[in-house]
Amino acid sequence: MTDETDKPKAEAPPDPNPRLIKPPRQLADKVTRTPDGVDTATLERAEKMIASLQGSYLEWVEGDLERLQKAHDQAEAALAAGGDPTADLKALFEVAHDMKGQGGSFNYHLITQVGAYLCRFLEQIDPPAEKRHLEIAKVHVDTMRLVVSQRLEGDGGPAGKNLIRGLEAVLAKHRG
Amino acid sequence: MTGYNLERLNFLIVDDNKHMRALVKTILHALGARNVHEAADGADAFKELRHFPADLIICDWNMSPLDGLDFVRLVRTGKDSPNPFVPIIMLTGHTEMHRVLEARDAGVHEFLAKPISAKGLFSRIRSIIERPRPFIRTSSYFGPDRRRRQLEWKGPERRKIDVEQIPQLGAKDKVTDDEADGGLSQEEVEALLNG
Repeated sequence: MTDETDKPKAEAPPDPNPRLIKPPRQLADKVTRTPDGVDTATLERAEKMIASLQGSYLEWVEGDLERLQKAHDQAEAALAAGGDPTADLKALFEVAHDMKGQGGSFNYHLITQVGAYLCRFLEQIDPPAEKRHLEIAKVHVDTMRLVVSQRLEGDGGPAGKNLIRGLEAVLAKHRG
Repeated sequence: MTGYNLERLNFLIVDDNKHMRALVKTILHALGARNVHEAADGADAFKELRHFPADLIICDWNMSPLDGLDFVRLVRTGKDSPNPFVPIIMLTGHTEMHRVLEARDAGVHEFLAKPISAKGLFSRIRSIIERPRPFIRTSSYFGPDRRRRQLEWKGPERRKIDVEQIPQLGAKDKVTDDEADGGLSQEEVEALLNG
């Protein structure tokens, strides 16, 4: 899953004559301090606004879970037909990456955590993927679905800890 | 008590995920912003910049056909760029060390790890307001000065020093092995960029 763009690039040699330029305007030129500007209370209100979007998040995350499942099913079908599931796993990675970046904003930190595990696992597959890889990816997908269906917010309490422990055990076994 | 009033600023959000755009827009509005435009990828955003004088761009990394990094490079160094100096916050789940450095070297001002919060986003905006940086043009770079702290320095170029010398990062994260633990936290990103 790693491509050329993921590799660090060599730095160019230092320029002997760097030019320092003052930007024509700065952000501060258009920002003043006012009594109704951003303060602690504003930030708390903004965090509450995000929290109020949790219901919407739970609706759209269902669509993400469907896309996740579909990409996994397609990878399985490709493998069963003797094909290469790399493109489907790339699609799976992209959905998982989006979910990883969103869950935590809505107090679904387990979605972020399991999404990160899945992304990392997929990145480390040396293509072509095998059936065992897809099985492990499926455990991640099922875990994310459980987190949503059981509404496991925050760290998910004991149920959340069990899910993570189970997933980590699967990954540890895979690594041998 | 007074605070920064953001209502005169023009924001451009660039993200291919409509939910993320909605989230960022909600936060900006809650912080008092009034003029918030959106674009779904780098190419759309570049077109938008031709008629929208953005004061600040909040940009995702993964987009197609033009991703966030290419967009930043186009804004900074494109011959027909409408605003090469506009501050850019890169918002992304890619927090591996080499990615952070790649974004910095493309010319972003700030880097914010997803998932985001209102406090996290505002802290990056505040940083741009409070610590304006000159731009640097060299044969290989055009963008905000990558040296964030003006210190007397007689050693090698600071951005090339071994990351082990940055105390907040310790010996744990080298450029080559940071992916083993899935990227840097926002605090580690800050330590790296401020190092």
